[in-house]
Amino acid sequence: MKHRKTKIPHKYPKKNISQQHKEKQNLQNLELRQYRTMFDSMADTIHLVDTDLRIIMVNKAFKKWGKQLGLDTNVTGRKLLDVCPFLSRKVLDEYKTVFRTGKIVVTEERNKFGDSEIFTETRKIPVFEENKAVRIITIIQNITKRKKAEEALQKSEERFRQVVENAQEWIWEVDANGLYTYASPIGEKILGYKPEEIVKKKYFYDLFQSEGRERLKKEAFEVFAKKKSFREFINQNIHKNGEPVWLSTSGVPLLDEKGNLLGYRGADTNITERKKIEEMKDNLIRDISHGLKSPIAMTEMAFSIFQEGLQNGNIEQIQQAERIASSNLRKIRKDVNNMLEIFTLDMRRMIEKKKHKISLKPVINEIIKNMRYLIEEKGLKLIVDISQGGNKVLIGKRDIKTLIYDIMDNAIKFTEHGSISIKIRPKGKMVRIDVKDTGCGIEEEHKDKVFDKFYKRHAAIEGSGLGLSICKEIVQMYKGEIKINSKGTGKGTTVTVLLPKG
Amino acid sequence: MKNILILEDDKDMQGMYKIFFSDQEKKYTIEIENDATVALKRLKEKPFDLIILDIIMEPMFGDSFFLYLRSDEGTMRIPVLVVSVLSPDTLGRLKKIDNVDAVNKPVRLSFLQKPITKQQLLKEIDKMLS
Repeated sequence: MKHRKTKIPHKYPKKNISQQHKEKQNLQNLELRQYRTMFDSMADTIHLVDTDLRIIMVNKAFKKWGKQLGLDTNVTGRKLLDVCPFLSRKVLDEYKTVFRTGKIVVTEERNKFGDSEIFTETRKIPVFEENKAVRIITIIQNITKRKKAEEALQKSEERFRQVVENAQEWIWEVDANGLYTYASPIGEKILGYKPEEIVKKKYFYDLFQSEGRERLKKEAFEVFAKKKSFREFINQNIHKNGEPVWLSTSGVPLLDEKGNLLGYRGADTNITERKKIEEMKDNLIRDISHGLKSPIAMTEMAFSIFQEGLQNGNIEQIQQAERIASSNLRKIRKDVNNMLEIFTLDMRRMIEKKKHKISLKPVINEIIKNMRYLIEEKGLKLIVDISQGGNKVLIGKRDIKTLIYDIMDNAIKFTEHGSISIKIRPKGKMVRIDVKDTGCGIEEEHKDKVFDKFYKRHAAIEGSGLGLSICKEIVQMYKGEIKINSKGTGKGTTVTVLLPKG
Repeated sequence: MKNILILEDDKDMQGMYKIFFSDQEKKYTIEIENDATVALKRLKEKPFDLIILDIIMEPMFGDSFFLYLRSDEGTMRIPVLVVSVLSPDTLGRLKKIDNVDAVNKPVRLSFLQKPITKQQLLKEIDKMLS
């Protein structure tokens, strides 16, 4: 700053003004008056300086601003740095540059006055005389509002970007020809392509499954032609790895100010899982209704031989009819229950959060009572070991019954000789329930599958293949564990359940 | 006296057949098998006049059994009565197998859909064996 301190007189030197110079100054004064009228009418802060950065003139807005900042408002003839001591070296250099180059310099500043933050845009405009910049008009515009709006926009764009990147939906934009111009990163998860593999490289219909592509493409371009938005357009695409991916697509047209179509912007939801589940449910309904045919037919037949038995007074036939009817009705009931169970489990997961402290002993005793004839029918031995303590669990009333019934039922179904045993033991904060059978066992590689919905080792195995998958859902719902153990085919199976102690 | 082989793996249905044939001892002798492989063995050991066949069975489905039956010179002419919960329409594949050698032959393949009554069953058997 040293060079700034070189002495410059405060007032214009008047001693050696020639006549010529006087005329020039009159002209200049006229010019200045014109400037003043114009400057005062403007809302921006304006000042005019000469080559020594001495203030020749300021407008009303400058005075007002100076007042607000507590500056001396009597500034004409004073040096800019004296009036505004806060100006930085950089600002002074800018003035030098304008004088030297004769070019306008536009800068933005961020000023802090107390708590408030003010953004300004400053234009330093040279005024020429005989091809030489001799004065500079400085226009300082308060752009705080605009800046704040820009910042807010930037923040909201950032937020938008975050939303887009974290959304489960794939956000995209295409041009009027259907070429991708934007693809959010989630697309890689859904379709296997990185944004850079899609943008400017692929048309939306390139990702469609080849079968039906032309039809879908035609449909899409019909929508394009109408410049209409569309919702939940279901289309099958092919993942980079070749797997089919079902997408539900919604989009809005992007139009220019004349209403010409620029392209579309929209979002895709991956509905492959939903489609799979729909398919599974369809299969389930078909399987179960199919599976119901046989026991219903058997029950009907049992009634006909029952009637015949009544007519002939054949007690043995009546008894057998009764037995056949009841065992088949049980199969029907179980399948229907399972179906209801699977269809209502999602709903119940929400509703039935109410846990109770349930005593296992009476629940198990009741189930055993109901199942005893099934076990005896097959000539199996039942071993019950539930007297040891720690037998209260935290679970829904209905769920504990379903859980134990399904596990027991499964054990009985796959056991032809030997025994079924049920045992309860406390285990830390949990209660452990073991249901062990001496039945057909399970191969190591199938162990994980038994908890899958609709799992059956053979198509002809009766039932829906839902029993253990329901058990798993229930156990998970109450933060327990379920596992199955077997030493292999023909060596029996143990299902172990851990439930939180009540 | 006619020999009938019944292939049926459902215990209840086996019981049902026993009841249906309980007063037919003078006309028919029945033998019930629940495993198709065992049944094929029995067919080699003893002549049968009719086979009553269920379709949904383990480990061998009734239609595979039927294919074996029709591909063996010794058993290809034995009449088969399919008694299944499946409709005859869905079992059309069996007719195709049977038609291969259908010239000059009496009815050898019939269908009854469960549930069946004793009367239906006996009437159909009568028809097939006449």
